[in-house]
Amino acid sequence: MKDNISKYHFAKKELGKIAIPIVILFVVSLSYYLYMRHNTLRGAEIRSEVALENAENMILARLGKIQTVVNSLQPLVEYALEDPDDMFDIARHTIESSSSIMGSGIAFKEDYYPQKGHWYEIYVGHQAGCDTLVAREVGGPEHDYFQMEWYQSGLAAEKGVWSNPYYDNVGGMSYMMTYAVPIHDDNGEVVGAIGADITVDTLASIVRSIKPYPHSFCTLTAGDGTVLVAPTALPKGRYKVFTEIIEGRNLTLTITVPYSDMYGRLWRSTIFFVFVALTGILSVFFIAYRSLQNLWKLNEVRIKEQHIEDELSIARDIQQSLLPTGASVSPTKKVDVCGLQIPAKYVGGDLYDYYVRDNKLFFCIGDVSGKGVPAALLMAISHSLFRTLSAHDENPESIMQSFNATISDNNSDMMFITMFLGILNMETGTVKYCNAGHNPPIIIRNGQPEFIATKPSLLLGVEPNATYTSHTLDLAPGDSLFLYTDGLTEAENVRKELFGEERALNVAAGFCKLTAEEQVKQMREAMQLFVEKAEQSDDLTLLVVRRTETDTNATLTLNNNINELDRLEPFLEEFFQQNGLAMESLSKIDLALEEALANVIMYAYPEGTAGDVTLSMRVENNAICMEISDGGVPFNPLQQQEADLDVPLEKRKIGGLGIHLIKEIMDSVAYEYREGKNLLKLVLTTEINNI
Amino acid sequence: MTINITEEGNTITAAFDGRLDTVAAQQISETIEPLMQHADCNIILDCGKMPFISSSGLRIFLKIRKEVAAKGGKMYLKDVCPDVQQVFKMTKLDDLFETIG
Repeated sequence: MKDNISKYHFAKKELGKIAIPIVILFVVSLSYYLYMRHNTLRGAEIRSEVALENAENMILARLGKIQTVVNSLQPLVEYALEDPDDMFDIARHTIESSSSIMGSGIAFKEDYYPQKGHWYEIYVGHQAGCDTLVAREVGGPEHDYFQMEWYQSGLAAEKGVWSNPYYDNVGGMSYMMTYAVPIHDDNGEVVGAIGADITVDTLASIVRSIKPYPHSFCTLTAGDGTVLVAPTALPKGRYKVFTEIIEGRNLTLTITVPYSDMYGRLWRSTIFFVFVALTGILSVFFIAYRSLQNLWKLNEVRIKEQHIEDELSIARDIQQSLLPTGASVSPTKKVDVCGLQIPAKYVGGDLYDYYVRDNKLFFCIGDVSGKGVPAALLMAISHSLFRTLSAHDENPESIMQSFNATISDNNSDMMFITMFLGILNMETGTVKYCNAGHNPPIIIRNGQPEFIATKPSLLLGVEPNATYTSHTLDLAPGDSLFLYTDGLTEAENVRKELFGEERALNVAAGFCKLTAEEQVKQMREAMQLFVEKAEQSDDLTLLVVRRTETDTNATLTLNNNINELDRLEPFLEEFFQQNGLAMESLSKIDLALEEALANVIMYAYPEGTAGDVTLSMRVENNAICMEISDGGVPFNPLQQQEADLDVPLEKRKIGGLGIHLIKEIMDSVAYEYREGKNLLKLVLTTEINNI
Repeated sequence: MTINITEEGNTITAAFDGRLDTVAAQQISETIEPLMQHADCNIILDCGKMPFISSSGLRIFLKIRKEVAAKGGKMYLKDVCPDVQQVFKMTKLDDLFETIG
């Protein structure tokens, strides 16, 4: 549940980041579309305007030609007013002057020519459907031109004027427009009008030729709303209309452009753009989803790893707790033991153990095949097997045999163990040992190191019926057994060179007077110096068993805290017991040592700095030898002024009693400052009763 | 180390229980304050359960002794064990401390 929640938050957080580019992408797409749409519209407007202006110009040119003809013939009419029959020639001349003129009429006011009657209008025009011209008088009650618009506006006009389109049922027999110019007599009076007709069809061909878009169309509308030119069918869908009014001609031109024509390309390009953008977004989504999945997986793996690490860390603690501590072998006994184990991973397959039973030191070192957790499990088993089997058995070969039989049982994975097991008689120094395929330990006799050369038995765990052989060696006081696992000899440096047995032997050559702990430390340092920065590849285990010199040193190290003095008395009691010393002198030695140690603890180190003081004691030739050493400021307590005990108490200075007591109790007290240490050596020879 | 102080009339008894070593001497400096305040009385230091004394312990006794001498009281030691008595001897304090019991 908790994981789900964190996953949800995680997803929300990560998807939130993805949402930003998606939103940007959409905004950009939309802006692009709107911008392009605006541009397209603007383009269409311009295109249509240009087309309309073209059409207008063409129409104006066509009409202008007619105007020019009529305007130029008008003076001729005025000149020929006297003879009404001359008007036919002028009209014919008019028609012949321009192919656009369909017909031309000249009409006069009521009774202008009395001989011609009330009406007089002559008309010359193309016969419908043929090229021949027909000239005739058309005025009369059936054709009352006085009422006609072209005539009326022609009379009223100052120069010339176009009529609205109209259907002429007598002259042209079609829709037409007439350009009319007034006729004046010599007195300047308006006496009639001359007009030239143009059929709307003539203009229609111009209008129809206007086609800025494939499906656009153009219409022409008269001032009175009459539609002169229009398509037979309207296009489907929405469209945009552009309008142009032809000034002074009572005409309106429009262009209708369907959206599909105008925006078609934009739509296609926008759809393409959106498609590309969507593909991009989906790709981003997909990639983001995949990487999120990976992140989740990674996160889960990390959490799992953390769990494993936590557990391994616990396992490591457990494994480390299996290792014996120095406390199990008292430092005052006749052996000195020290072990070290550094697993290559959290846990390792190496083991060592030792303990004392019946004045014998049981010890072993082993190496389980493999590394990590599987090895660690077998190591734990081996550890308890060693303890269990050696609890009632003092024969290494039978212990090994039982060990091998137990491990071999059900060992389907064929894990195996190499082990060196020894039992040291702490009194005699005899070591009975059995080596089950383990690296030969180094024995250091009189400072001379050499490998134990006896042929090892079979390693443990592979052959249930294997036999194991014990051997014996003697450890004289001061001699050591140095045991190790291949983590030492096979330690690699960065150049892939092995530490090797030769080097181990060379290091051991310097072990002569060293304690077990110092031997372990030196070997470790030599190895670290060798491998430098190379990673530790195998578990490393070292174990040193050393018989101490005849007289055992007992040491006690105290921090410079006065309460540490409480540890002195138990330490002395143990020392007295182990060395069989008479308890009578305990109290005196306790007092003298307490005085000396208290002195160091309180005064050797500057206030607030940490330091320690070490007391070492040994029994030598019926004397107790004590040495107190500290790294504090050089100070010789023997040179300090002692309390003058003969002065009456009231006048005595309190102090100086301690050193007096020490001198009083001890047979010999000596001080020296050597290698940065204060050394106070005390010897008590009297009153020693060995029991 | 524990000290049990009892008052009876003009006599104050301080019973020391445990080792009067350097550590204990540091801890009891406040505990013996009532003794210092009543240094004009008879002060009995009961050493019956005190097997050990260090120089710091001696200094405590000497301090009390000094205060008593100044204020006109008296100080006695009671039931001193041989080991402690030996220390008094070594420091030549055995004559200075009056012992009873």
